[in-house]
Amino acid sequence: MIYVNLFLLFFSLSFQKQYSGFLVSEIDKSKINTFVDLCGMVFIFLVWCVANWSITTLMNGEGKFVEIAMATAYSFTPLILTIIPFSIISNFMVKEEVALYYLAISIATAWFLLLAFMGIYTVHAYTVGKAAKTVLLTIVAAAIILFIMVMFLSLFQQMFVFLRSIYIEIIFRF
Amino acid sequence: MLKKKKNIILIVAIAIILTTTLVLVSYILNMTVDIEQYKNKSQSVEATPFLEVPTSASIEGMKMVAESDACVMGINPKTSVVAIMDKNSKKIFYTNPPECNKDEAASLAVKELLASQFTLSIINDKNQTTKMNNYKYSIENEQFELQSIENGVRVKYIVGDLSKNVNSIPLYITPDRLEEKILSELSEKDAKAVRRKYIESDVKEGFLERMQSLSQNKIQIKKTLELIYDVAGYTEEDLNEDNALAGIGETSGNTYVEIYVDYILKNDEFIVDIPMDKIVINGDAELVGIEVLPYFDAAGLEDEGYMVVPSGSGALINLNNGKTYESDYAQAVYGCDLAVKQKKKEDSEIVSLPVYGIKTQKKAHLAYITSGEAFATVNAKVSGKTSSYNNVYSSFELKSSEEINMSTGDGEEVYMEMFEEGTYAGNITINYILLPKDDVSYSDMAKSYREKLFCDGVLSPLEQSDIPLYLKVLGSVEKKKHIMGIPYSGNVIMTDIDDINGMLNIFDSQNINNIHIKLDGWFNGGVNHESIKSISLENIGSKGDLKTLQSRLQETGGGIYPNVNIGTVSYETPLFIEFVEASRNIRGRVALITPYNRATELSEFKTRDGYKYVLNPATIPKNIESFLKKYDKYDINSLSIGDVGSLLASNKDKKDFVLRETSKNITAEILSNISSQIDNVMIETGNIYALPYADHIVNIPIGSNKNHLIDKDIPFYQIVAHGYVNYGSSPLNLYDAYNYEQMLLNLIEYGASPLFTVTSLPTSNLKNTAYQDNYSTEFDIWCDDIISMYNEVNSVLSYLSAETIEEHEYLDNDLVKVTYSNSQVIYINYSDKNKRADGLTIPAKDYLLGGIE
Repeated sequence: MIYVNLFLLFFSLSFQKQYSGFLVSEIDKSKINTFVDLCGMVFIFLVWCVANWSITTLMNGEGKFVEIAMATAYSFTPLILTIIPFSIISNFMVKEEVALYYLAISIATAWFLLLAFMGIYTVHAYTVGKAAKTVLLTIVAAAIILFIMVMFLSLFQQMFVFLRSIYIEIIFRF
Repeated sequence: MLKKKKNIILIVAIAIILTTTLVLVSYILNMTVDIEQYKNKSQSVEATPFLEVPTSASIEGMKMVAESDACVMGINPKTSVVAIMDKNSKKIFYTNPPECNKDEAASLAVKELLASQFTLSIINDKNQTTKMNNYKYSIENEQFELQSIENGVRVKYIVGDLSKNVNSIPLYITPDRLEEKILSELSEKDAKAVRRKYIESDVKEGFLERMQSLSQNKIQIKKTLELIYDVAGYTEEDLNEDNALAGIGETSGNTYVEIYVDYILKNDEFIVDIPMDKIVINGDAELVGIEVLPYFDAAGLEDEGYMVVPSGSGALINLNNGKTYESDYAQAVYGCDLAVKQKKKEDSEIVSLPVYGIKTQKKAHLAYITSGEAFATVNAKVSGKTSSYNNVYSSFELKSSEEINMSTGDGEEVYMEMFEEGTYAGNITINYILLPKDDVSYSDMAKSYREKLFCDGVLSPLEQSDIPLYLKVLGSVEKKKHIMGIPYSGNVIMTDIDDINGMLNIFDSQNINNIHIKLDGWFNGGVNHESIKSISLENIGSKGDLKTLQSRLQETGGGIYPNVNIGTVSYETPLFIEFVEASRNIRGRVALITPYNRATELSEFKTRDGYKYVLNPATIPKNIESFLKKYDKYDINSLSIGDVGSLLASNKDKKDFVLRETSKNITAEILSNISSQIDNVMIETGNIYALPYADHIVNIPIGSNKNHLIDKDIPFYQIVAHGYVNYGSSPLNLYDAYNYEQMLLNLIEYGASPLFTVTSLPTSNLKNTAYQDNYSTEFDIWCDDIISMYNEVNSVLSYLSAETIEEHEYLDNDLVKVTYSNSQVIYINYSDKNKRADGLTIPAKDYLLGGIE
């Protein structure tokens, strides 16, 4: 079910990207690449789950990794249910009605956040205060994960450039 | 039993693998041709000891060396200046300005250049480039020798500094020989001084070694040299002997170049010829460039006239035009090399003819390069910048270079200059047509060149007919498409064969015949097509439709010309074997052509749309062979070749390099093969090597590249080509500033047929493709303009289609008079006022026919 929900969210987001009305979409539709979007979404989802799991294990959370992923994935449901119909409707809206679209999307997003929070709260059997604290810490942990990844990337890049220049030098000398 | 089966399977598998490898290897080996046959062979005549030739006329201060019907030639034995005198008018052409050492505007260094016949660019072992002119490095030290050849003279130069330096002091010497050869001849004090320069060698046992510190001390070097050579009588032979004893090679350390230059007189032509394979370079250095006769017949301050440069259709630079603040004119012949990475888009109009010349009030000459022109750059300078002379000449880039970024990624930019590996071993030959008459015009110069080409069989006359109407039709165009947001390379059919038939119906109803359609994007993936070894038709119609269209067009004298690029293929070609098929640039990377951004003129790197591989010239003949076999089945008998008339690529690979001149010969050979199998060949732009094989040239340059030094554009190319080959303009509807009247007058002045790029679908379909610079091509929009433009141009030019342009002159800035060989005169008035000429009134922005009725 995790995969189904994840896929449905991905599907509805790319549907929104491609088929929502021009009043609500600022994307150059000729430059859309769905594969890149998919990778991005899966990446963010994984980083969230890993960060949350690593924090909650330290803070006596009861949830397993699978349960965290499941709770998060299930909480996508309001988004999935809202985005596609409203993307279709947005094609028939006039400028004044666009607010309705944003209202619906905002409500769905809020609902999703609430569900995600409740999910975390339930899965780990925390108090509300502790759950809020873990969510904040999860964000910090995610930032640290991203920072380390960027650092590695940059280090590897420098090493690559160094090796490349040695290669070029050898090729040209002989 | 099972084991046996396994063994059999194993053997079969190995056999299959082996055969496929063999087939693959033989396939790859078969892709290229042996380029040896295409290389320029070095030619040189036998020389005899120098003898003066008795001639009917003589030139003051010169030893006479040759005589032809029209001219005599002499050489100054002290300065190696060559002069050619016309026997009738006694006018003299000098290779160097005769009074150049009195030039007040020139610095000492420039005076050396004025007095030299050539300048060499040399790179040394440290990759530094130095320029050596043959005055300072040869003539001044009398390092040259004259020899006689048939109808001319050969001058053998040793260019370089031959004076002694630290390496003339033996590095290793045995104590006995030092004593015997040097010390014993010197006084006791001097002997001690020399002995002190040597210590026991650690490297070579039994030898003395020259002190390391000596090489830094110039005064000591000079003193020691004097002592051992002048006083002690040590000689170069002794030095060589000592070096040989010590087991080291010649280390004279002086870099010098032995080169010889032949000057030949042939009727009214003066020929200078440098055989490159006879050049000997001593020392660790390489010859990368040469400028030949930079001041031949240079015009001084008192002269009036102009220089002709071959930019685009041709251009004039007035003598002494005072544009000393502009940079000099320099443009590579046949455009830039595609295998050398260009950061910026090159000039809009390339040099198609390797010609240039100077005209003064008394005489004129036109030079044309007959060998080595693929390396040439035409240069022009006006007086007042470095000297008092205006000169136009060619320089040759024998090895091109590329700056290579060796940066380490920590922000520091380090560049290294790399030169290509290949060495040209043919000749550099420049012919100068001498025109020793008063008031020679550029038309006369072009005519004299036309006669040469006609005699060489490059040109053959046309018959009188309606002028062609050229249409360039875009068929299937590559476009990135999306399915569900997943991008893929697709095509959009801008025009199919039914659409073309529809266009023809309209032209038929207007009685327009002789329509020549260049069809782009008809096979293998679109306009930027994939490898041409096989043909698969795009979705524009069937083979039969194409054939029917061809017969329909041919009935009215026209034809369809499916376009094929033979020097480039799409980057998306499947199974492209880069290491054999692709040309490489100097840094060893695969050479790619990338589209330019129209706004910035820089390469676009964002997407791979429109990227092309530059093909290794050695693979092209095989490609074409296979293409022609397949193309034969279409039974169309006409073909358009999109690139090689204007683009010339080399391969800079370190091992399998193909020089640009070789590539030119390969191209000419291919074109001759194609034209022997296919009756009608259309090419673009028309570089001179492609001209003999072309029935139609489109995109012929109209105007020059607008270099700031240029004063006027002239139809030099058109004077040469009109009446011999049909030619069409660049797409008129794609000019930045399309103006019907202006275009019409341009076509009439240049004798060119109109060409339009058209599509059936609206041009908006080309947005976000590599072809979005075609920004208005929809046929319905242009239909009326095409018809009226063609009818009007045809009404003037159809009677002149077999005639040649005899004279083109500017009566004033906006008024042009063109005279044809049947004495038809056309006046063209570009200004917005009526003008009078020869008793006629030419209306504003209009033309008028004069001469015969």
